[in-house]
Amino acid sequence: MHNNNGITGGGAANNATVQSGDRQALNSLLKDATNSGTQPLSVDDANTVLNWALEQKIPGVRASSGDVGVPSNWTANPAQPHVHIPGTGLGNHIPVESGGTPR
Amino acid sequence: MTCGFMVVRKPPENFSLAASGIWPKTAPRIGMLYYAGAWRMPWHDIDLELYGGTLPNNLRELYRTNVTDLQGSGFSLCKDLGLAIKFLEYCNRETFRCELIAVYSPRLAELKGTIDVADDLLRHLGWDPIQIGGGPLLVDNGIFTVPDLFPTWRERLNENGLLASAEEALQYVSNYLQLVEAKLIEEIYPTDSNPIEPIRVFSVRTD
Repeated sequence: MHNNNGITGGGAANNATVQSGDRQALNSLLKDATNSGTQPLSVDDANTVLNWALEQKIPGVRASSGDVGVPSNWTANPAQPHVHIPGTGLGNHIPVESGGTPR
Repeated sequence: MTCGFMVVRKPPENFSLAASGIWPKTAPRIGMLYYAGAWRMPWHDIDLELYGGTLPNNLRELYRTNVTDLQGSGFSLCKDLGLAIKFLEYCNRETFRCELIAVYSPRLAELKGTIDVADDLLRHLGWDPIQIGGGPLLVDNGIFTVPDLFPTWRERLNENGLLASAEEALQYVSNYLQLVEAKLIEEIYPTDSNPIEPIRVFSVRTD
């Protein structure tokens, strides 16, 4: 299961240091969907994950034009569009396919 | 005292040839000085097989049960040295590209607890500033990627590409945040929810 996983959101509260079961599941899905950080999320999956994370009001979630654009604002890897969701175990960046909408 | 163990790539092997993704395409280094910190593709070789469906059943169960990050810290730690060595041996069964490290910081200790490890098994490598729940500040957008933005820091890195003390690591963080403020480096997560912590990194003797 890699791209287009049909990632769906959950409903539990979250903060940066205590994870709900939903966050745990999300992190596993993200690692699976990105093949342990080696391939980008589809735009649809990225939108689903972002919607859920924004609903949860997780501090730091973002997908600015500099993030999802090409080149992106990621100094080490400017060719790679990405989004930001803390606490996923993938570091600062979650790779996404190009074509995402900034938010 | 440490907070737990991680299987990571050896410094020169800390890269992925994948066309896209989050891992460096070449091992982070400045000249011949490699980054030997905590963010060296931790557990990546196990994760690839786990999510690729090729990790043996017994290891899969052991991994899911014993290598966790319930706190969302970004540090999936194994608390059992014997088990960590078992994972390391599996990763190195064909090529010796991984090694075992242990990490410690006060905040990680609060989140994850600590374990005692015999001193003669650990070798201090240095201090690595990392954002809890985020990423590393030495690599990615840091000195190993844009050394020109950190002109006074190259000579302050030790032989492992890390900082010599927690205090030095915090000074580096301060410099890094100034560069973020000046929009020369990409924004990081809010530090009130995701604090930046100097992480003490050890190599672990496994023979």
